[in-house]
Amino acid sequence: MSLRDLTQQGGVLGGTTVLLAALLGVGLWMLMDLPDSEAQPATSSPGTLPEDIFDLDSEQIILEDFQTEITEQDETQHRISASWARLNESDEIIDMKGLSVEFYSDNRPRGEATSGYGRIWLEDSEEDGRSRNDLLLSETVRYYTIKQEDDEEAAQQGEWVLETPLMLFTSDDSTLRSDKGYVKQMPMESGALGSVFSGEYFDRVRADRIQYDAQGSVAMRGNVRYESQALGIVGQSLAVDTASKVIQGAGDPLWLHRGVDMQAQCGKFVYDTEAGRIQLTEEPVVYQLAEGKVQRIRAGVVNMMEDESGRLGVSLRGGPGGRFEIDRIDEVPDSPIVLPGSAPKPAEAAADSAGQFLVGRGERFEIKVNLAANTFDTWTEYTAILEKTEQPVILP
Amino acid sequence: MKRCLLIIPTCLLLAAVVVPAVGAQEEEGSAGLGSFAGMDFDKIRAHQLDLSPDGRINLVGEVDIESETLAIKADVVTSDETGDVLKAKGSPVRIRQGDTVRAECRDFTYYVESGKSILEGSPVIYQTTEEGTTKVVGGIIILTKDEEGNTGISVKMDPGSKTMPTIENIKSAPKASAPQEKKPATKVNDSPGLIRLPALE
Repeated sequence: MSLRDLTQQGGVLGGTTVLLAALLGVGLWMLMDLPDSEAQPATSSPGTLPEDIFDLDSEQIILEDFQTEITEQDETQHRISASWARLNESDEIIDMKGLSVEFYSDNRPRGEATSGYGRIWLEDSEEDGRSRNDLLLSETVRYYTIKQEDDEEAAQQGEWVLETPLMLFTSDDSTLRSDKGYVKQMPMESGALGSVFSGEYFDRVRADRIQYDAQGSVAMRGNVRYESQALGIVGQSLAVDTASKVIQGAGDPLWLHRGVDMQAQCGKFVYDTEAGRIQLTEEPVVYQLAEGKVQRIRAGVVNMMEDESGRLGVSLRGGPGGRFEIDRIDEVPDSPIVLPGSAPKPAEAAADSAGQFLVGRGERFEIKVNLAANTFDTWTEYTAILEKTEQPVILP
Repeated sequence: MKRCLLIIPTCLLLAAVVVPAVGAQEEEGSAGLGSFAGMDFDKIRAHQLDLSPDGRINLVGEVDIESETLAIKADVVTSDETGDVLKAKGSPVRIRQGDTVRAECRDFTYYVESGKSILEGSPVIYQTTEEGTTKVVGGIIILTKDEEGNTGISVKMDPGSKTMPTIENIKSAPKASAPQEKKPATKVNDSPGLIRLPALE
């Protein structure tokens, strides 16, 4: 039995159940703005999709008010409703318009998505690099989490919305992926990224590349910018190692900004969070504003360390000509860090705030949604930004 | 996986540490490392500085500190946890107090609150007034300030030394211990090759 037969008769093929609400007829392909893969060139803009993937000469089946349920081993993967659908001649692909999709995990709904267009692969496709039952959504995709009231742990997790031009559901690992996207109202776990630095939730984290590993370590490389209301860091790398509990940063120079009172620059910055020790090396310079004057400290090595009662000790070693220098100067030099006064308000902990909006975006930005855990993970390359915004994001 | 991210906030936090490096000082009414022993120093130079959590400061190696009222060059300068006692050691320690007093010794102790100074170890003081400069040499020299800011000098014999203290009027005190801008070499008249060197410090 072919899928073409199935569309006319209803039934099951290879674990895929297709329900047809209406079969309107046969027509020629219409040119649609659909991609054939989630892999986009890093230089393409989010709104630019390939247009040469359609076979204009093929006779196709056109359906309206189309509904289908994708199952794997008797478990529902997702249910799709589309205002318009088209089955291609090879019976391997269904393209759709006006989609509404329910995603399931363990036969429970985990999320909902809407999109302008969608595509299902009914068979493995080497040409497209897709597996059977893969689902691609495009054109203003919005994915909404569904709160699991009956699952206490899951209920603790924040609800959030992901907006993206493209989103791919791969049946191999039941994971949604997007090359580019915007995450609104990040879940509590992701909001905790800001807590890496001080329990203050960040306003913006930006880097050419941001990586999180399974242990929660974070590595940011290239044009790193971290901004919260109280703290700013600009450099070339910033890494948090959860095993050693050491935060390291580097730059040429690395800039540190704390409120309006303190600014520092150095080549290398190491913060041993367990020992409570901070070390600035490679020509560190610290500027401190006090009583209307600026104090500048230049040294070879600056060490700061807390004792058991939280009091701070400081040591300076070396510096220009072998000696450190502490001077009063007229002005703090300009830094690439936005002063807190002009920065957006800090995002608040998701657990305490129903309204926080954090946004991720990048030239090549993969967002992985784990349906079972109702969490997401990101992998970014080039310019990746996580920032807070009060307004919904309008996709480019 | 994301749960691990929640572990990190329990660590000591960057903002909580970097800022108090300065902020804690500010809460106590001072202005960071440039302020200790109750004084704001416009310039501090040394090879090493250690500020202990209890407030003691230790400066080591070619120490050079300057405030409006006091300038010291020494090998070691320390301030105790109360911030009231400043000590300097050197070979020698060079001291300038205000515009009128310059001194050298091996051990210098300064009491911030009272303004009292004790100079030990072959101390020499030059005090300049409108009438001229007085050079004082003694075993132990103690400088005090009265309520009007006038400097008093008392001189003691060094125990075990037979050298008597001396007081003499001289033309001028040696160059100040605090660095001063060096004058550039200037030609004498227009004679080629003849250059008047700046006075040696």
